[in-house]
Amino acid sequence: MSFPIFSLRDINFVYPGGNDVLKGVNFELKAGEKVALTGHNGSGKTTMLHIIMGLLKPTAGQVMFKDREMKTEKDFRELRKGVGLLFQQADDQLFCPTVIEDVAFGPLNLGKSPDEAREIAKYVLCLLGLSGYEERVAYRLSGGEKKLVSLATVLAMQPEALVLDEPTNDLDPSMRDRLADILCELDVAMLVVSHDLNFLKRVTALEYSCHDQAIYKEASIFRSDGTPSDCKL
Amino acid sequence: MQHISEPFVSGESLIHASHPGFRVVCALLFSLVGALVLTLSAAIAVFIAGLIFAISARLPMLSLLKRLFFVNGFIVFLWLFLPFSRPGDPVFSVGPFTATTEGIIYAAVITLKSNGVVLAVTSLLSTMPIQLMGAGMQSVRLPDKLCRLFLFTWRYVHVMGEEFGKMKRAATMRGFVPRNSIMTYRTYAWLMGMLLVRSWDRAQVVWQAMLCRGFTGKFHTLNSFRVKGGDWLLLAVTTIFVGAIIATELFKVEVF
Ligand SMILES: Nc1ncnc2c1ncn2[C@@H]1O[C@H](COP(=O)(O)OP(=O)(O)O)[C@@H](O)[C@H]1O
Ligand SMILES: [Mg+2]
Repeated sequence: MSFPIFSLRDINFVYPGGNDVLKGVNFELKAGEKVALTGHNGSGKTTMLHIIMGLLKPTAGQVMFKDREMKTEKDFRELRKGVGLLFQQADDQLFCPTVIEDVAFGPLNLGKSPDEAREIAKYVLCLLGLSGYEERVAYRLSGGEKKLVSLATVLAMQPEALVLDEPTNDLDPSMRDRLADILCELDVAMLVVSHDLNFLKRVTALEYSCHDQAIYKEASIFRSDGTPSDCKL
Repeated sequence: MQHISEPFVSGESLIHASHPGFRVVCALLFSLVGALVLTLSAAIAVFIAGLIFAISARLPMLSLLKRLFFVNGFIVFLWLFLPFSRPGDPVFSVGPFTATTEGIIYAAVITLKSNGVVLAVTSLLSTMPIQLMGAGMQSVRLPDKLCRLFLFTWRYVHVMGEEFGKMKRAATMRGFVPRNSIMTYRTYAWLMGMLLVRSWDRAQVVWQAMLCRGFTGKFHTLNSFRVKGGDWLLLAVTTIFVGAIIATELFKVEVF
């Protein structure tokens, strides 16, 4: 039997001093699946993604990576090698002076040599149509460019699954199309949070929604055979 | 968008090309000795050595003067008090206060050595991007914690600058004009409070982003440094300067 890349089991979450945000959440992402997650502002989507990455600790329930339960920070380090998160605020994801250094940061942490890391970074930047951005100063890019560079930093880790938190925010329509093309081409599992239905239709095949503190599968606009409507896996 | 400018980084000189680790060591050595000297002649030596560093780093004049201007802004206040603070030969009096030769020399020592150290540190450290400096600090085996503290301080000062800019713009957009009024002070108090909270939140997110990319506490860098002849030359020159300064101090070389 093959395990999902990651799964959440009966997750509860409460922010300190706040109300319940998630209650009894179950979710899994299998290899190759492209899943949309929709839901109102404040319904707990970002919170759920941060729980998956081990950035927030659930008050109850389990986070599984493949067949193992993630408990300690050390466990989650393993998970983060396999699962890449694109943050809602791209600004905060960039912290090195130049674009190439930022993209190479992950590979270097994974133990690649400087030369290998540079190669990977260049390859990923090229993949995203960002060749020529290598020496640009990361914090002086436009919002959309920052988003793409942030995506590059995530892809450079060569993850098995991508978790994208509102990737089309502050992208113009042509940028959005480009991003959809890129994501369609990528052969990794994806969980995409977005309010942009057209974008989701192109990129994802299954829809889940987040409301009433839990995650529900939707029988929706998407095709049911597990492939996105507009592009091949 | 606000950012911290690094006016000295882009440049070409022997110092720009040398090993970050060597530069960190030289800067530490020089500023430690420079800060400790007490005699006028040694302070002059510190200042001259600082000038030599600045000239060989070919620092842009305007930016350098601006930096020195800020440093000396503080020193001006010392000149208001120090000349009157020491017993010795009277030079002139203002009311009940008498300025002494010793007091004036003392103020001059502080002025010269601070300017000398700032010149040297600017030439050695400000001439590299902060990331290189982190790598440099690591390469000479300074404790990891110290390097991390340093790099995060830099990154978070940045975050705070950005947040402050954002909030100030938001306030200006809604017609806020600073005046000498309770309203103004209250707004500033709110801004400051929010600045702390928001910077804390954003710093948290930056930290999380680093974790997500496999950060375990050690900074790696794309640039691998090889030690070259020029690096040893830099270290040798700095050692000679430091030796000369110590000798001047110890043997109380008289200038006048
Ligand atoms: N740091 C926090 N402390 C307390 N409450 C928070 C915090 N972050 C988010 N929340 C609350 O948790 C709920 C879910 O937030 P979030 O997961 O960001 O929603 P979404 O991403 O779906 O818009 C919201 O009601 C929000 O107010
Ligand atoms: Mg969100």
